[in-house]
Amino acid sequence: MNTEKILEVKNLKKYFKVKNGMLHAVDDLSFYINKGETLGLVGESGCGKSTTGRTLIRLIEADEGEVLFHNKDVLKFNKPEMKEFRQQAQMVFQDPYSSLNPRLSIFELISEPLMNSNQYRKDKVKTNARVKKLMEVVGLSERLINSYPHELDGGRRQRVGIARALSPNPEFVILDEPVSALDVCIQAQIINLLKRLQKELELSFLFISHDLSVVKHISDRIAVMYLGKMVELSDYNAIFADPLHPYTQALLSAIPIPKVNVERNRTILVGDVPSPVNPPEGCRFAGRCIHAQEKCHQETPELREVGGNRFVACHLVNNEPSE
Amino acid sequence: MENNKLLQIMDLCVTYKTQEGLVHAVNNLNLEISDKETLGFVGETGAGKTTTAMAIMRLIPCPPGKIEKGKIFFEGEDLLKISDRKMRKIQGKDISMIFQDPMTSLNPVMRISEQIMEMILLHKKINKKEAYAEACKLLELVGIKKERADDYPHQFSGGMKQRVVIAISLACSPKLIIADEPTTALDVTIQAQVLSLMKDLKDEFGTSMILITHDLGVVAEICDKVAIMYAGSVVEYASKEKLYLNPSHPYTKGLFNSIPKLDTDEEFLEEIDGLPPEPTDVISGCAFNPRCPYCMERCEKEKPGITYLDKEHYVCCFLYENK
Repeated sequence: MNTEKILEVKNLKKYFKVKNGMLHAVDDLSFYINKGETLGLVGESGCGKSTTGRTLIRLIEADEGEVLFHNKDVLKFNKPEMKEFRQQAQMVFQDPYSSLNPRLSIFELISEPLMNSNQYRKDKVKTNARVKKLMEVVGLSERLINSYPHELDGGRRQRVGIARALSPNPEFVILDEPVSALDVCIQAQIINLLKRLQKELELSFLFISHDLSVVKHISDRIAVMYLGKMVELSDYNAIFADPLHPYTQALLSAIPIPKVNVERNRTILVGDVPSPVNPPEGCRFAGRCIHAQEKCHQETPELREVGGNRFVACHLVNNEPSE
Repeated sequence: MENNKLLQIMDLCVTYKTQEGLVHAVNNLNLEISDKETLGFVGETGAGKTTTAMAIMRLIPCPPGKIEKGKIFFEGEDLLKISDRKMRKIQGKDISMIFQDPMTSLNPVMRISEQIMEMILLHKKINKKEAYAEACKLLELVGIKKERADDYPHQFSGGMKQRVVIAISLACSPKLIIADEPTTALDVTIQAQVLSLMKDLKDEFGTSMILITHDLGVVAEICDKVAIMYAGSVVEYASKEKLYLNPSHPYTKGLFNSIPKLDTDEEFLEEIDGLPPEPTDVISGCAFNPRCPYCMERCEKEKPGITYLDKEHYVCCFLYENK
């Protein structure tokens, strides 16, 4: 495994001003992504997954922190540097129905990112060849090149979204719930496509999803978020075999498994996710945690290493993971 | 008529008139539900799950929709033949429905107590005060404090709203509840709460239920029988155990293989080739034949009939005909 860090995030913060205070969307997040690796980012709606993804490529400006891409701080980039960076970091959005401009043809959609570079803008033949190549890579038949998005179904649209993201030859792609809007069979096709592309093109992915089984399938490491904070980060097997944080445990036990006659010890959480506006001191999960103690309500647990490259933010987890 | 069946659907055909032509949303559908049974109705987008549910409730918009033929017996009476007035008495009272999106199925400008009372006052001969008391009782039953009865829907979270919708559907102790993707819009931990609530209430009231979903994991948790739908007809029907341990139709097998597994590692998912048919396509023979890995010559010409593999396990596929 190549261990060169392609992206490193340090203490990223993003608060939104709302009517009754500050909404802590992303609160002090730190992680890194190695070259050729997929980091899965999991959490429930409103936990800050998408905001994280968007701040990384400055679709939303972060309040504090650093985003190091090849050791250079993206947040301090000026306009020309940003333009360069946007070629290398791309994004695929959740909803292929609303993320494609309905008035552009498939050719225009895929070639649009290429228009930033001179070699394509001036050379129509080259652009044409590149678009056709990309369509082949993502499994779209060439006859669709002049179609419009409304003529395609969800799976094909998402393929267009992926082709568009790949067109400037990026090193790093943020996938924001790329398969959530698709049926299981189509979902399987897209996941296989993403895995294949990653291998062929040596891409690094940040895969944002709420679906743990999908994330487990595609990721090398998984980060679990709750209310803007990262609560656990480790290898995908470790998280599934032995989740340390009580929230991760509850999340895993809540997944319905398509099997019969399996006995499961389920912890069903009580209550809803609290509001991220002006969250109280202490662990954000304390209100719903079955193991919560007094300390949890007062001190905010830091994300710390507990051995074996596993990180967890919980007061109650011992330093040595239970084997 | 056999009398132990609560609901019996025979040869139901529903079509929609569209600009692209006639859409056969439901094709010769046959189904039965016994007392106190939960039937899971599984299929991809456009398989005709919701249309079937709407046909049972006689809610198909006409035009463009039309029930071409078929019979729907509910307690021995054909719902498609009775008068509208009589149907109004059954809607909500004997058969009630839970819709997919709790954000849109509640009236935003009515207090939730009023929305529950509306149902009670319509079907029961009691005064407002008694109805209010009953509404509060129902709210407590689904785990909402009665102090919140006078709140508006926007003051509740998604999971809580779905609880309100469940309370409304239970208001007149129906014999059959049709739940159309009741947890799809919810997060996993909230989904686990709502599912366990539905399971408890179903046992308590002895209601039958049709659960429409695309998630085989949800089915495994709550259903007794499962019907797999593809392109408007049921391709396989069995008890949950039989279907999960021995999926027989090639489509059912493909569906199970497309789901990323939590307990095993696989490099690539097995996909079903191709895409679900366009609703306007007319496929001769078995509707699944263009995507089926076991397709024979015969499949392209004839429509497979029902083959019983076992008592209560049937499949519509020629592969099993001679066994």
